[in-house]
Amino acid sequence: MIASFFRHLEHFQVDWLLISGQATILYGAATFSEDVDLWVQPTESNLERFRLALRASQARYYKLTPALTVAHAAEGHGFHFVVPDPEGGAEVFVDVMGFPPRVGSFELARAGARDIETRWGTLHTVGIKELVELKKTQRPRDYPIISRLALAWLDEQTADCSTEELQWVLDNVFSLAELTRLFIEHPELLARLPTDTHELVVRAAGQLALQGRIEQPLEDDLEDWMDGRVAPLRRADRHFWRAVIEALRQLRASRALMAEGTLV
Amino acid sequence: MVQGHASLLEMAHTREERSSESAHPRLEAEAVLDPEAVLSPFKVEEWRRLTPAERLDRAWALRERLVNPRDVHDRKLFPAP
Repeated sequence: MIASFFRHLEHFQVDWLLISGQATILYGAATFSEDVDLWVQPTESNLERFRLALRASQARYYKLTPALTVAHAAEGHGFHFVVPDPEGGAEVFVDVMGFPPRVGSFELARAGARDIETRWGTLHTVGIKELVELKKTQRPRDYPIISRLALAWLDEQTADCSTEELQWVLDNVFSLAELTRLFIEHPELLARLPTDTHELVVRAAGQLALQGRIEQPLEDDLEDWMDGRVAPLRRADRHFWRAVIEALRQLRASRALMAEGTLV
Repeated sequence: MVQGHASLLEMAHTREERSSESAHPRLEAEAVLDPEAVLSPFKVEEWRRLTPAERLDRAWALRERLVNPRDVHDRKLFPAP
């Protein structure tokens, strides 16, 4: 079971954070992810400890994986592993980065991370704000998840959030369902909207306060506007990976990738 | 983590894998496990009421229903254009 892999991470004192799919599940913003994504502190000593944990887990290299070094991590490469289930269940895919895009340092993220108790052990889980940035990928389906993360962050606040924080929430709502839920569950926000809030959002908040729903012409306009906000984010992610993929191509040409299926 | 790019897909899959994939029907279980379909507005409330640990358990139980987790993983990590 995957719990043994996490026990090995703890045993070898690896500095790691759970990111992406499983983190969004813990925060309630998604229901399914088939793999485990980790952000591992990109230092030589920590990567060595991580290698020991992978070996103890009988992990094997998966596709398109360069040597696990700080230099490759700094180039933006991901490292892909398959971890067998010692109890004979399905293998688990573990995808790792040292310098994931759009977020600051590992140390800052670790300071804002949460320790969440689960059947797998204590999962050091990246904070919601970093997770929102990590999820700004080229996949359209990530944007409703980002929106739910923004709402989850708002739900956790025990005091009124500041104008800047409310702006952050509004900036990260990209779907009609979540925009509706935002104003249905927090009708008080209508009176606190930042002055430069887009007029479509102001009108939607007003309609939801008055009649509990958004009329169709406005819904259509909102959808177009939201799609327009998503497009440059998806493009930026594509551009990030383009450079990484070019470096990966060169590594493959020089036969510098790890052989798929070999033990770490 | 998504490295989506057509050329990456080409790099990730051997010719043999690609030909077998093209003949491989999309699994019904995977359609059912589409995150957007699973977390419909009608189920959001129920999902939010669970603890993080309960959500993780249920999500992992969903994963065990996958016929071919490797295929699902590869299509996400190395998606077609």
